[in-house]
Amino acid sequence: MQRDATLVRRQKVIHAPTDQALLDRFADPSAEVERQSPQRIVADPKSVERDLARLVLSVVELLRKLLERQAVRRVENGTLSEEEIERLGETLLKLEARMGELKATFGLGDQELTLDLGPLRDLVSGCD
Amino acid sequence: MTYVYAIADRPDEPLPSQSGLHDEALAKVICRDVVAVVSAFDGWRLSKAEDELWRHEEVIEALMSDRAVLPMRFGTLLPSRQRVGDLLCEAYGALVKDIERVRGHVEIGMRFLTASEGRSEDDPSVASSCRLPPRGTRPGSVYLWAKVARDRELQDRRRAKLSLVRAAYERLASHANASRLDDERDDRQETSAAFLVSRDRIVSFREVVDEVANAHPELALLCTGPWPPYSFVNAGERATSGSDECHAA
Amino acid sequence: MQPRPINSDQLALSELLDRALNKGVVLWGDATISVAGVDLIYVGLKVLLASVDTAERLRQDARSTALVTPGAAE
Repeated sequence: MQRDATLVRRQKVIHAPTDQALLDRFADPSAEVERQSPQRIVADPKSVERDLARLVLSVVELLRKLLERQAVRRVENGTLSEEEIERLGETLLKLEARMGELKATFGLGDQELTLDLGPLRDLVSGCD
Repeated sequence: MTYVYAIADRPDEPLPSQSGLHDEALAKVICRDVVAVVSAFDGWRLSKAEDELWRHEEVIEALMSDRAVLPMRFGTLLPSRQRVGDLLCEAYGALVKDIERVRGHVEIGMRFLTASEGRSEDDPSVASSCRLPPRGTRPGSVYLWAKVARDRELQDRRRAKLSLVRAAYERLASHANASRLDDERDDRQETSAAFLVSRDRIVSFREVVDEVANAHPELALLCTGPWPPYSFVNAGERATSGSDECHAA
Repeated sequence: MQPRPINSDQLALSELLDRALNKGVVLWGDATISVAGVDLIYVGLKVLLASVDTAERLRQDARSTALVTPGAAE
């Protein structure tokens, strides 16, 4: 490990692609920050409503995704009747539409509703 | 409040002269044979965020020059040094084990990119390449079957990518004491891996990286390090010896 | 011809971000927050608070600074 602190930042790359386009895809800290960005619960008094909406909708969105994932699993497993599939699909469809309306009302995009669950992340990422 | 940088061994060794966040002096909180390296943290003084991250890292690396070190997650703030001491003692057994595992090792990180990448969620090619025809005529069924088709397509891609990466990963893993492979998640496209490499094998590991890069032109590799062993602590949450993989079955 | 150090810094930062914000030892304390006299327990909030600050400022820094100018002297 480097003792000289000024060198620390520059000595971390052991191997990288020589193609600049590939390099660019690896190196985009602002994109990294977007991905990592956790939620501020209350930013300032003026935006309390929006921040609260963001928190609530993030949780709802998380649940919606989990439900959708479960539904897809059930359909794939073949454990649902056609009627059940239709009912589930219709409900999820309405839920997605309603979420769209709420997001539009509060001016929130998908990026802002992403909750980083930390160690629980794998629950949502598709690992069973 | 108390900011915690790392937990290390050799509590009686003097701390490095490195200063901590906001130029606060480093201090020790000791529980038997482990020491938490801390500094006072008084709130939201503004400074460049990137500098703070690097300062956190610099403290940890300074400690690593003569100790076995478990790096803390950035931003670990506890109400008091007393509380830090309590938690150290509570977690003592697990901490000692982790310290033993990482002693004399560093972490080397890899990221793998394959030729076809795109944001899975919005990638139009996923929809167009779904081989299943839409099922049913009623809106609910059409909607849900489309989700199923998309899910299957994504899983196929994930599997294909993983098999491309696997050979390269396993070659590297055979030169490390521990390794882990993180499959791409919904929010990031890259497959990444981390390797716990003995310090005296860093040079040969780097050579293997170059060999692997040459042997796999279909992959783009980014290798960085040496890092403190961030990916190999908190053994309860993640398996650390051998490989830990989490991917769609 | 100098190699491009700029991208090295970005790469290193990106890697550090992933490690320091997502990995490393996590010590759970009793993080208890009260709102209107009601105790809400949010484990890991203390970690989130510092990370929110960092992430937010990194985002602002990235937008307000001309970060990468190819060929610019350092």
